[in-house]
Amino acid sequence: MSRHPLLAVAVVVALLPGCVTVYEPLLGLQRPVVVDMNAPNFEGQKILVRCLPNDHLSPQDMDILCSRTRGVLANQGAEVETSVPRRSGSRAADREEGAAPADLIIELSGRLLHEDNVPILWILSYLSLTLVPAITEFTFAQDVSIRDQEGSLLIADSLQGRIIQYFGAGVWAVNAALDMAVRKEDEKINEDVSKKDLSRDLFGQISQLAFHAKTRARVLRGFPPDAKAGAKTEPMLPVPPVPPPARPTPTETGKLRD
Amino acid sequence: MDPITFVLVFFLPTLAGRATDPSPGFFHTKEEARTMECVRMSQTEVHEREPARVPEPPPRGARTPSDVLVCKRRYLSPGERPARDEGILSNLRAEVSAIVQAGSALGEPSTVWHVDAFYPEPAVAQKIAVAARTELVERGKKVSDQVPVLAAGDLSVLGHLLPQEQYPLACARAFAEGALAAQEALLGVMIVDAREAQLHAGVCLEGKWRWLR
Repeated sequence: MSRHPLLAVAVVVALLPGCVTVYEPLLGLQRPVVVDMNAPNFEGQKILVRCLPNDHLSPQDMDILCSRTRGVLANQGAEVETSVPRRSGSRAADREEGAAPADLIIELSGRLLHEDNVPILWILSYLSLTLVPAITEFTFAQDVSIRDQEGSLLIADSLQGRIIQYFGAGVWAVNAALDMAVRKEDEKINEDVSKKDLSRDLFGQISQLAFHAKTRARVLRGFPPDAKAGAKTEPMLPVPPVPPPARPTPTETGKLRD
Repeated sequence: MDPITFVLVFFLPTLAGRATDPSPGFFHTKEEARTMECVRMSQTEVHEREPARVPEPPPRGARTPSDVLVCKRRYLSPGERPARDEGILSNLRAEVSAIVQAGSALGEPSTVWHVDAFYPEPAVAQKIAVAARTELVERGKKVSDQVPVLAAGDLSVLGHLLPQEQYPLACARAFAEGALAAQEALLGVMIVDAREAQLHAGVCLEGKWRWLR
C-alpha cells in the first residue's frame, strides 16, 4: 500500500515537462548582423531557396525551414520561390519553363556534427525521480551556399550551433528559480527563448550572406544597371574617400615599415 | 540513502560538471557565453594545431572518431565596437587572404605592390591595409608602404561619384599623373555598401582597374 503513492509520484514526475533547452551559437551564428531585416534590402530581386533534406532532416523539416526563409527574405523586398527536393540527389526543375531565372539561388542543408546522450544519466535520472538531470546535446551545422543566375558560387559558409537539453524536475526547478529571481528578461533560458534566439541568429546570418552575395554579384558583373527598377541604378551608399595620408618617409621598397 | 545525501552525491556533481562548459545556463549568462568563440572540430585537426594539449586520436577503426569543442575568448565583448567593424575584423585574415590570392596573380614578378584600404573608420582601414601588405609579403611580392596620392582637385571630384565610377577613374588619374608607374600596382580594398560586412577588392595596373571580388 505504501508503495503505491511512491509509484504514483514516480509516474507523475516522469510525465512532468521538466526540460530545459539551451542554445549556444558557435561558428558563424555569433557573427554580428549589419543588414536591417526590416528594410527592403532585396527590392526587385528574385531569389530561389532550395532546402536539401538528408538522413537527419526530413523533407517536412526542410519545408518549414524554406517557408520561414521565404518569409524573412520576402519581408526584405525579395520575390522568393522555394524548392525542397523529395528524392536524395534529385535536382528537379525548380521553376516553370519560360520563367525568368532567379538572381540568387540559396541552398540550405544541415549536418549533425556531434551528438552526446549518456545512458547512465537517464538511468540515474529515473532512479532519482528526475532529481539527477539527464543531459543530451547535439551540435549542428547549417551549410549555406549562394550562387548567381549562371550558377557561379558567390558565397559558401557553414553556421554551427549547439543545443543542450537538461531533463529533470530538479534542474527545471533550479532554472525556473533563476529565471524568476536572478535573470533579466533577455537572459532567461527556456525552449521558447532558445528557439527565438536560434531563429534570430540563423535568419540574420542568411540575410547577411544573401546581401553579401548580391553585392558581390553586382561587383563581378561590373555594376550593371538594375533593369527591374526601370533603369535606375540601385542606391549604393558611396564610401567617402579616406583623406590622403601625410607623405611617409621613404623606406626601402619590399620591406614593411615598423 | 536520504534525499540530502542523494542530492549531494549525484545532483550537485552532475551540475558542477557543466561548470567548464561554455554554454549559457547555470554557470554562465548568455552575455558571457557570447564572449567565447567556439567551433566543433575533429580531434585530428585540433591535435595538429595543439599537439601538447590534445592527445592523438585513436587509430582508425579502434573507436568511433571523436571531436572537440574549441573555444577562444574574444578580445572585445559583443557590442563594444560597431557590428560592421566587428564583422570585418573578426574574419579579416580569411578575407584578405582570398583577396591577395586573387590579386597577386596579376602583374609581373617584378611588380611593386601598393595597398590602400577605403573604409569609413580610419583605424579599421589601417588594419585592413596592414593585413593585405603582410599577406602580399608572405607570398613573396615586393610591397611598398607608400600610397599613391592624387591631387586635391581629383579627390574632390571622386568624392561625388559612385564606387563603380570612383575606382576606375582614380586608377586612370593615378597612372596619368605618374603617381603609379608602369611597374607598380595598387591593390584597393573597400566596401561598396554600408550594409555589408565583407570586403571587395580591385587592382589598378597600367591605368586599368580590375574588380577582383
